[in-house]
Amino acid sequence: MNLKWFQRGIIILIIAASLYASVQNLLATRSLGSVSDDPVADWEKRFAQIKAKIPFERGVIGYISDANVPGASYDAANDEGEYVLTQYVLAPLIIKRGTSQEWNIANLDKAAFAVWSKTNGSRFEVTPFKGGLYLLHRAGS
Amino acid sequence: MILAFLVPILTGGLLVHLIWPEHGPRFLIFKAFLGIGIGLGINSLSYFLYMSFFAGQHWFAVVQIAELLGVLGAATWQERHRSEPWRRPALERLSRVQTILLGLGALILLISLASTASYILRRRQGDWDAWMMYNRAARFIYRDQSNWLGSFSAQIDPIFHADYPLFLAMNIASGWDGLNSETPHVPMVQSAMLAIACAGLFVSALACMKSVGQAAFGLILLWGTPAVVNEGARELADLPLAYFFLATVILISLYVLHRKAGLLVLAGITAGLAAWVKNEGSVFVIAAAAAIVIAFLRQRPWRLLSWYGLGLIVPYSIVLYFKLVLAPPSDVLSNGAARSLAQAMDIARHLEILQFFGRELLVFGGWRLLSLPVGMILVLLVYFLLTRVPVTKNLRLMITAMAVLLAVQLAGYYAVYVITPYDLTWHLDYSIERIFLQVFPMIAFAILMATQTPENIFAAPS
Repeated sequence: MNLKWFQRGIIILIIAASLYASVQNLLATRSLGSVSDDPVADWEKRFAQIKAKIPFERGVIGYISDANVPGASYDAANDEGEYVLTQYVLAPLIIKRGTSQEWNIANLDKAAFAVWSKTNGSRFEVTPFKGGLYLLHRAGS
Repeated sequence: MILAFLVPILTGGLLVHLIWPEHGPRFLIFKAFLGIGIGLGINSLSYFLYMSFFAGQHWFAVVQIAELLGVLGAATWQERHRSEPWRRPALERLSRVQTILLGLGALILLISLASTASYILRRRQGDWDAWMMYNRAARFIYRDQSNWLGSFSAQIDPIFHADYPLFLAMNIASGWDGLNSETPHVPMVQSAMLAIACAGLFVSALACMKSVGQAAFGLILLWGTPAVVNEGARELADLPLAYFFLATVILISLYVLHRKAGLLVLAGITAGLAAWVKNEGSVFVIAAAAAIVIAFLRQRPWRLLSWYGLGLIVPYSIVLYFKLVLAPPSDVLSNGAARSLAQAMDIARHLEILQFFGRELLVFGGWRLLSLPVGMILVLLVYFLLTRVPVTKNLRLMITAMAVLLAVQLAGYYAVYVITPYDLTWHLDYSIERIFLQVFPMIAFAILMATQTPENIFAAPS
């Protein structure tokens, strides 16, 4: 008889916990941000102009960010996120870290770009775009 | 948007009925949910084959309709030549316990659907791994279809996993192709649909094999688990994988009860599709084969295995073709034998893996009590200990199969952690919740099969 009550008790507890967890989970989705925010779409917009200027649709393009500039400050997680988002918006182009390709994209803040261009600027034709983006074409290619 | 997937789902449902022509109303509901996954799987494999021969052309809809008409014709012919007539389903009168549980289940389902909708609207392009892998792969394939093989270039950074199987990506690309628009609604709908299908499969199978009350309780459990609900909105592959794991386990269990060869053929298809969803599915193909052999060791297991193989052969051949011919090498296996061996001999690695497994067991699911996490699997184990039923011959077969499946699958996960080239702590941290999610519906199903029904527990003492 006692076991029966334990069995009933655990079923009721599980149902109560499920209901509570469901409501909490629904409320927690608000912390994901506003329904009008779409960071991926914002990233697409940011890259729209530079993407239109890349002279091919399939192939490899180099990519550098603040993390590639010695002395520049950056947040490692953000840097990784921006790299992933850049690959996502530029698909089917393949992005490869570094500037060893003929065409490259630099995603640099003002200070990092100044440092980078001092040592590397002469090797590339640089086309600046809004939002700290630069299209780099290897000079003489 | 649903229309993009309607034809494949109808094809899947009819194919299931063709292979296993069972007419009971509860079975028909189960088959409808099974048809969602199998239909999407066939669609994904078909689009992959279509791209292999006709990339850059836009008449895949003809293939989809031809497949539908083919299975419709075969199913109609089969129904006409059936000796057993259709019986009108008798409406069952629900008991008070069943009514209350169904009401609560519906309430939790509604709240969780609202969570899924809220999550999806706040993550319109899915979560991190969706941009990195599945939706990214779909973009590579869709945006330059004539050169789609470039999507598997070895030049793609290994972090983007161009070697991952293409179940999700191919369905997304085929949806965009059909709609002629790269809308984010296609991956959204696919993700939510597979989550709902997973719950539907779970609930309808319990209704077929246990009782309405157990099915409603199963719905409360599964959709009251935030880790499961959120996954339905994230556009990742773990819940679709869990769906195919669960489907295979259910089909093997149904085989134990009904002894119809078609059920094992379907189990072969669902295991093969698991391998088309994610690399972990390839371990599952072996796990399911081992489960059939060991559980039915005294009942001509090789014949049973051949039925399973019959279902497996088409999807898994395509997976093997993709993995061996097109896909770049997997990063997880990039260590080489010497380093893998050295890692396997490192006791500290084993202890760390076991510690993470143990910790996840205590917290998995997303339930919290006074801010402390409560592990769902642990709760289910306590529930099992309190409410287990006597082990019959059939139940023993089912539990043996499920235990073998789970053991082989967990051993596969464990082995990957042992040899991973990544930092072990990072790799465990990043993935352990998701691997528990992959097997959670399967574990919950096994426990609900081996426990008393709420109807029995709440019955007045005689």
